[in-house]
Parts: sequence; C-alpha cells; structure tokens
Amino acid sequence: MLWLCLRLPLLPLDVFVQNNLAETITAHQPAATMERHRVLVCNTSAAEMGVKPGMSLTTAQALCSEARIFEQDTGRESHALQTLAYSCYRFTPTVVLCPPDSLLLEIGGCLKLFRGLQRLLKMINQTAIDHGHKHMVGFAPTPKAAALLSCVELTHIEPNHVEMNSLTFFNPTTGALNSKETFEQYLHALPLAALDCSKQLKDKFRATGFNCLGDLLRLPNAALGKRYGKDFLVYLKQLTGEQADPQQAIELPPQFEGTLEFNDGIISTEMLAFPMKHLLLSLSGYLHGRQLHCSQIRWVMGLSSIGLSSSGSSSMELGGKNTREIILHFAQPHNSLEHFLSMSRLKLDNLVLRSPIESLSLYAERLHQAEQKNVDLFGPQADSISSNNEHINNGHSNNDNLVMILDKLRTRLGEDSVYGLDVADSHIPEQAWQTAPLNSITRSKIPAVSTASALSSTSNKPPTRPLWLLQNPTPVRVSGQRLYWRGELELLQGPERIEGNWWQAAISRDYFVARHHNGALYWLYRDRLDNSWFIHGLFG
Amino acid sequence: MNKNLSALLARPDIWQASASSQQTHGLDTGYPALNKDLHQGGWPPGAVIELLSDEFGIGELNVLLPTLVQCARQNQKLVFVSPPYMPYAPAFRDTGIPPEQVVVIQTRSAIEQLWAVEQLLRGDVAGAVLCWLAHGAANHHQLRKLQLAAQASRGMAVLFRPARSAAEASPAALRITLSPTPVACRLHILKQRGGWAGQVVDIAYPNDLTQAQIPGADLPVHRPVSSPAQKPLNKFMAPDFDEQGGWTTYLLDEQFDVFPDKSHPEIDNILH
Repeated sequence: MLWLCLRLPLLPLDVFVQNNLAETITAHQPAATMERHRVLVCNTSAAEMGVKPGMSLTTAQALCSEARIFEQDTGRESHALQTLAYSCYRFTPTVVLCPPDSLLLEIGGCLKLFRGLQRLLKMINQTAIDHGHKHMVGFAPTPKAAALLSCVELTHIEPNHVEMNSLTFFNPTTGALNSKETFEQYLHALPLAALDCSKQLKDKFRATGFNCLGDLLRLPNAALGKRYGKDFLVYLKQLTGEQADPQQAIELPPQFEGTLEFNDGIISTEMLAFPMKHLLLSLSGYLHGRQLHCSQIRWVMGLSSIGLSSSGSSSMELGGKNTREIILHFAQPHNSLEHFLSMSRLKLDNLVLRSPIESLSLYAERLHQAEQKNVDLFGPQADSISSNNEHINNGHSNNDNLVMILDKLRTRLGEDSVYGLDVADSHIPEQAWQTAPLNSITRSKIPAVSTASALSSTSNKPPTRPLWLLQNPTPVRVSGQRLYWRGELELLQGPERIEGNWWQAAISRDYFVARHHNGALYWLYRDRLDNSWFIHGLFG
Repeated sequence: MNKNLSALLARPDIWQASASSQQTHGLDTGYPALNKDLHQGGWPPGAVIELLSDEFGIGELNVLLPTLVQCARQNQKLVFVSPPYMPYAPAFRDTGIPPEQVVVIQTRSAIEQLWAVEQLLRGDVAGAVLCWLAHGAANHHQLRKLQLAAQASRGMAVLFRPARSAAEASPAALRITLSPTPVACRLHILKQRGGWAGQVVDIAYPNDLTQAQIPGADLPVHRPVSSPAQKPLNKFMAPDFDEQGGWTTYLLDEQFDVFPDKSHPEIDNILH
C-alpha cells in the first residue's frame, strides 16, 4: 500500500480565483479569505505584506489595503474538492475525500500502469494545476501518515520540480519502502504541531516537553492512552500502521450533474467561459473515470429575476426561478474536453442575455459505454498505453475529424441544417428518398460497390432519374399544344407511368424528360388525374 | 542558359508560357477532352474551382460527376452546402455515389455559408465541397479566405456562382462558365492559374436523356420540323460507363465542335 495525500492549502482562496473572471486575480495581487472576520488563508503576495492567517480583518486591511477579501464559502470548497476527486479517479480506483482540503489516493496498485512514481506524480501535479489549485503532496504506507507528511512544508513542490523528502523513501517502480528504519526515523523527527488532533492536546504536549512525534511513540501505549485519551491512541496506531485504517473510497454517481453559483451574477457570455470550462473539466474527469462517452449535454442557467423581459421564448418558470437551457447534441458520443468546450462556446455566441446569470448547471445526458480502442500489444504504440487517457483523443482519424466539424456546423447552423441522404423503399419519386441522421452517415465505413457494378450491365439499367429534385413540384403552363416554364419546353422522352399510393392520396403520373429552349433538361410529369403538368426535377 | 536563370525557372511558381507540359497531379475529370485543356490534367486539388452559370439542369453536376464518383468510391464524403434543389438520393445511387456519402448543409445566410465551407475545407474532411453562392454573396477578401482554406485540403472545392460574377475578379484557381447547348454543356475556361485559358469544351449530356422518342400523339408536344438540334441527336455519343464501371467519353462530331480530336493531326499541328 502506498498512499498519496494531495493537500490544497489555499483551497478557500482557490475557489474564488477560479470562478471570478469579473476581476481577474493575478498571482501578484494580494488576496485573502476570511472566516468570521479572521484571515483563514492568504496568498504569497499578501503574506509578503505581512498578512498572516488568524489575523483580524482590520489588521489585514491596515497592512495591505489593496487586498481582495473573500468570505469563506464551504459549499464551493467541497464542490471543488469533489471535482478534483473525479479527475483523480482515472489514476486510481481508491480516491478518498478528506474534507476540508485534501484527497487520499492509493497509488501502490497503479504504479505499473503509469510506469513509475515520477511519471504518475507529474500527471497528478498537472491535474491539480489544471484545476487551478496550489497543492502539496505526501507519501506514506498509511493514510494518516501521508496526510501528516503532506502538511510538512518540506514536501511542497513546484510544478516542474519534483523533489521531496517523503518520496525518496520509496522504490520508484514498485512503491515499496526502501528501508523501514529510515522512514520511521523520518517520521519520528516530525514536529507535533502538524498532528491532526485538537489544540488542547498539542498544548499539553508542549507543556510536557514533547517536541517531535518520536517523543510520543517511544512511550508505552497504556500510558499514552491514559493521559491523552483512547481516540488519540487509535490515531497514533493508525499512523504507524499498527492498526487497520479502513477508508471510504468515492463512488462515481450514475448520473453526472454539476452546479456553480455566482454571487455577483454574470452579465456577459464571455464571463461564462471559465465556469463552463470548470464544469466540463469535472465532466471529463467523470466520463474518463466511468469509461463512458456522452452524446448530449445540457446547460441550465439560472437567471436572476431582475431585468428579465417577459418575452423570452426559451426562458421558463421552473420552481419560481427563471432558467434558460442550452442542449448540445453530438453526432458521436465522446469524452473530449476540447470538443465539449468548443461546442459550448459556439452556442454561447448566439446567446443573448437579458438578465444576470446566478447559477450554471451542467447535466450529462445520454451516456454510452465507451468504445475502447485496441492497441497492438507488441506494436510501437504499446508504450503509450499508460498515457492513453490524455492522448486517446489526439489520434483522430479522418472520420473523427468529420464528426467534429459536422457537430460544429450543426451547433452553429441549427439542429436540422446538417443531414445525410438515404434511399427509401418506394417507387413514388418523392418518397424514394429520405434524410438520414448524422450518426448513421458518419458511421458507414464500407462504401457500397454493388451499385457501380450493376450499372455496367445495360440490361438492368435503372430508370432515368434527375440529380436535382424539386421538393414542391412547380406547375407548368400549358398553352395550345405547348408547355411553358420560363420559356418553351420540348418533350424528349417518355412517358414513364408511375401510379400507386391509392391507400393515401392516389397518384397517377406520366413522367417525361423535357428540354428547355435554352438547352436545360427537366423532369416533367403530367398528373393523369387532373391533366396538369409539373416540373419535378432537373438533370443537373 | 545562365545558371541563376535556370535555377529561377525551376521554381514551381514561375510559369512559362512556352511550357506546354501537362502535369498530371490534377483530379481526373473523367472527360479526356477536358483533362487535356486543364493544364494540370484534371481538376486542381487544394484550390477553389468556380463554375459560373445562371441555369440549373444544364448538366452542371454531370461535369463533376466522374470525379465525385471516384471520391465516393474512396469513401470520401461529398458535402453540398446550400444546394439550390434537393440532391435526389436514388439518382446519386444510380450513378455510383452511395447516398450515405452525401452530406447536405442548409444555411440561412451568405455569412453562414462561407463559414461552413471554410470549416469544411480547413478540416480537410471531405472529398469534395460544393457550394452554391448567390451573386454578391462573397467579396474578394472572403473568396481569398476560401482559397487559402482550400489549400489546406486535398479534396475538391467547387463554388457555383451566377454568370454575371464572371465580370468580377476572383482568386479562384480555375474559373469556368457553363452554358447549355441543345446536346451538351459548354464549358468555357475563363481563368486557369499556371496555364492558358480560353478553351471551350463541350460535355455532352447522357445520351439516354437526349435521345428523342416520339411521344403519344395526344400529348401537347412541340415538334419543330426543322430544328437544327433534332436531326443529329442520335449521332452523338455521351459519357457513359464502360464494362469496367469506369467512364469513357466520346467527342462530338466535328461539325459541331470547335476543337479537334486527337484523330486530326493536321489541326493539332496548326494549333501547336
């Protein structure tokens, strides 16, 4: 067992920086989050000005007047933590939520798949950075020890600088401890202030003269239990691995939904881009984790009631709240973040906001089992299996590209504006064809060759049909013994009699090939029921 | 020749009027006469082709049909952007294009139209993109954008435009006006990048269409007694499928044709 604890020390601040595009906070702008008028966390720029956690609001503002101050929002924090947990689910099936600010991942079982600790750690780092978090990690054979180590400042890592103390105790390929003794020595030297126990207990330790963990672990269990309580004894035993420490791993829900609330209300569609990306990132992590693809997503925007004009065709009353829905269909189910994002942006372009958006929800509808792409076991791609989560969408075939572009066109131009063609089983010309939905045309892989070979035998030649069909036949004027449609028409061939459909609206027609006086060829018919003439097609 | 000069002349973007070399990297049109007049030996790939005509039903698709069939056989999609009428699936099937290879895109405005074509060309996802533009729907800048997008694609990019657009300058690599004659669609090459323009080619209609039958006597049929087109009708051969399922074409009779066949070496000599 090898546990990794991913701790997000600035989580109360991160959640505001992520969603707040109205006033973008750069890394240099001081910012802090308050809890009951006390500084809970602050960023490095604020810390440089002298702001410290625990400081009162007035002191902090006196030290650093330009700092952005936020009130703590635990709802957002737990949502952000859950989003990150979904994304981490693709690294290991054992992801444990440890509120308020950390995740535990059991990575001992998946080192082989990701080819070593260093590579896996890089990917986990990147995931945390993508989600906009500053993070610290700790490694240990027990969950409690990992959590303890992640608190220690030494293990703080820079994005591209993977070097930390607790990692060096483990074999990079197997994840086993190199030497149990050295690791225990390291644990024993840890300061007691980092322990996950109450402040009173820590005060007691200090009063007794205990400074590091080793001081406590050297004492007999019975004496510790008597002085500091049974619970603390259990904690210490679980820390060292003497006692089992069962963890409750997250399970992905059967349906995905995510919601973000905005305090200020969003008034422009550009500002929606970031929260959208955040929700889609969460969706993408969820889909990867459950190995699903999605063919339809639904955005629901909660609009505030102020400034809403009464005539909003797509806004509706739902539980006393105005909402607006955007539904995106995809020709083929997929789980690509970029594709979700670009399609959502396209839809945003057409959106006109009449009132501020207070909340944004994302629902994934129509989930499909992902079609796993097979890779050659001995082929050149065998290496890349471990990273296929990232790269599975980069190896687009031409067909995938077509699907993406047709999706894009359909999103911008409207649902019904992109379609395929198909023949229908009918001898009545206007019923002999039909439109085909996109997913059927993009899936056809084998071109039909039988029709071409059938053509070469002239004995079985199909009847003449025009390449253009008029959806509504145009009447042709009959004058004397002549036919006129934008000029005189001359019949060349025919008649070909087509009758039928007596059970609905009976038709009886004689079809002719006609030539316009300028040379164009048309497909005409005479309705035998009322003797009128129509143009039904053009020989393009 | 000067060494520098010969190096300069070897550049592919320098065109010499005296060079009559037929390059062969064009897409086969299926009509030998047309292939001969297109200096790349066929439709230029990765470039915009403009077909200018006011009429529909004059065999404008028939001109492209052999190439489209080839595309469809290679499992490439044919995309019709805002076609003037509905492409009729049974007819496409009969000519050898499986209907599922055809994608139709309807647009509401010229801006959407140009955007859709550009997306399709940039993505290089279709064997052929055919688009019907109204007069004045695209300015020179927009056409140039399409031409640049087409360079990213390996397929055909065809714009159908009204005949009066011929008067406007266009960055398209190939511009051809189409006009109907009683038996053929007449192609007049207006502009050809890197080659001579001005050639006229007739692409005959399929002969099973233009072969006149005698309709029933009770029909209101106009039968001109001395129509110049009526008499030689049956003498003409039109493009048709041969036994292998490929395309063969037959040139028109010389009395109707303004350009010579290979079987007239004396005229060839005069021309070259």
